[in-house]
Amino acid sequence: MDIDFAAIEIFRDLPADMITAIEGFSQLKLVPPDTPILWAGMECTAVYFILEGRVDITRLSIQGREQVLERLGKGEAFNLVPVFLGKPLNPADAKTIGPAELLVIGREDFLRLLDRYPVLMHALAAYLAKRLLSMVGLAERLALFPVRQHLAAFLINQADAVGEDVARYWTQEDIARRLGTVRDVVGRTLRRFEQEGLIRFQREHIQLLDREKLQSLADGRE
Amino acid sequence: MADWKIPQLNQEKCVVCGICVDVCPQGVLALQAEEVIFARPQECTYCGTCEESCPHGAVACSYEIGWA
Repeated sequence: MDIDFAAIEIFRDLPADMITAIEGFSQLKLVPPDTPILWAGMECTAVYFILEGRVDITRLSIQGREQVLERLGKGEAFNLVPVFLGKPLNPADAKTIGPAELLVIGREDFLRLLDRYPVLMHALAAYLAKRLLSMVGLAERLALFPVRQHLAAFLINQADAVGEDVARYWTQEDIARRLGTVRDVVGRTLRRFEQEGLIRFQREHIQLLDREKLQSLADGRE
Repeated sequence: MADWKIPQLNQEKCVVCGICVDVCPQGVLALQAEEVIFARPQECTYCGTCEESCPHGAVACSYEIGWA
């Protein structure tokens, strides 16, 4: 296998001998677009690392509303948390957006690698801490932010992340699932932003025009 | 392959109600053989009216978000 381990955040700074050991437990998986990879509540059998493509991590309410928890891109990992649980169940659904290339390591093998290499455990802990902070931010926005504030924060985050291989294209439905609302509300709010001169629609681009006002809105100062 | 972007139409969600055909200001969409098609894709201005009008969420415009 010819795998670019340096592209994966957790493995980026590990020494070569460790990478060789990890490679021995790794499988490559090519997944077509819009394909489910994991279902919440099913037994966790593996951890996943994204070599190419993008993956949505979602939860579905009983009413059928889907909440996008995270849209992950190249270098990110998912399904790490249940590895450490006594009853290892997948915490969320995962689905590809476009075609994706994944590196897969079985749960037991991953635990063995962590036992053998404390440096890998440290790298994993640092990565999980970063993701936890991101989840705390999402929980705060879902619980406390009105849609205008939440949408402004989302637009700034996306625009600032251009070039970092994050998900580039979003439909209004995607945004609604990310913000925990419905498409109509997102559409109306975007149009209002446009009327207020905060953004501009230009074919398939949403261009942000006024950082100061958008940031003020995102911070809840307006 | 066209070098302009057009909305994505999900035929599985589409019930061929024809609302998008009626509301499209450029007359881009048409009904043909019990299917909605992009009859004049080169005229599409990506205004999003079809997406907003579809009661079944079958039409989607995707956007790249960035600073002007």
